[in-house]
Amino acid sequence: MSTTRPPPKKTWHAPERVKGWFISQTRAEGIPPVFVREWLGEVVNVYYRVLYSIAYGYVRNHSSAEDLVQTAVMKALQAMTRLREPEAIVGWLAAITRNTCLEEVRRKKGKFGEPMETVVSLENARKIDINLFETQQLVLEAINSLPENQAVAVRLRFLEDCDLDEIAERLGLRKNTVEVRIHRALSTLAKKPTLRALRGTSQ
Amino acid sequence: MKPKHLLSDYLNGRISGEELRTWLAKDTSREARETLAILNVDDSCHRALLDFAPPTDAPERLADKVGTVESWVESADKADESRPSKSWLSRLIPALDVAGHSKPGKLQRKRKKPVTHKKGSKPATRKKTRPPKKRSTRTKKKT
Repeated sequence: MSTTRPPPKKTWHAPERVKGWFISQTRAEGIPPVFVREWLGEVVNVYYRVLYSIAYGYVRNHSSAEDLVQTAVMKALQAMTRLREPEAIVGWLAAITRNTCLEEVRRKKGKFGEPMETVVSLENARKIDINLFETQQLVLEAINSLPENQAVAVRLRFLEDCDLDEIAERLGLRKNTVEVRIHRALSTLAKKPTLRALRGTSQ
Repeated sequence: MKPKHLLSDYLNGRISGEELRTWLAKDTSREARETLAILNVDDSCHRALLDFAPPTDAPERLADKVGTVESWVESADKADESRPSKSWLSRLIPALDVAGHSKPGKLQRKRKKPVTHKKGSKPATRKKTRPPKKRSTRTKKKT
């Protein structure tokens, strides 16, 4: 993990051509056309951090997390014709990533632990505090334990620094719904004993 | 003002965290304590994940490959068959290996089933392919 700040916010809208493709009834199954794939590529590029954080929260392993995101994006590409609203693509990608991770965790029975040497080498290479490293893992695991609809809203708040309007836009929801979900998610997180300790250290 | 409404204002960005903290400091109710706990967890999680980022330049590469997927999917797949197949995906994933972690699939040979004989039956005998030699009809002359 680098110590860089999150990338600047980008305005995000599905182009009219892409919207038209989603509305059209004639879209055939198979590989979507180039302009739809390019748009998906853009979305993946912008929200890679969010998708990666989901996978990392489950597997605690960088290489496995990258592989899982890659598999999830491929699944999304294959199932693109089943997506009804392009506005909801971020939530949809997040759900696919989460399901892919759960399948993998079930298959490998949770054996993803990164060897300690790797953790230490990563720490040395990136000059990050080992406490921060553990804290991030705790937070990501806690977020993953939330219901999916709350987790994705909270991830966008924490990782992309989005306000309620932006989250609502990205998830194709109403602002009030987002507010309720974030409020519930934060209440649940505040009751977690692992995060209580974190709160004590952060102040 | 109630803590609930203050928290709503905070989530909507109308007041800052510090302002909310000062408001809540005056209040000793249970609701105020809970709101303060929510504010604290929001603050600490936000701070913890500020530096979280994937370690490589995988996002750009993955995005590029998603855009140019046709160039590396074999032409047989994209010809006229619009329905995606399992083989399509299994070939796609190693090709998309931006992180370099996927392993090539190993060919597995089918094992031959061991020959088992049913109880009471004779073991299978090899069929003779060559026709049996004809006995010579010649008879040796007696001397």
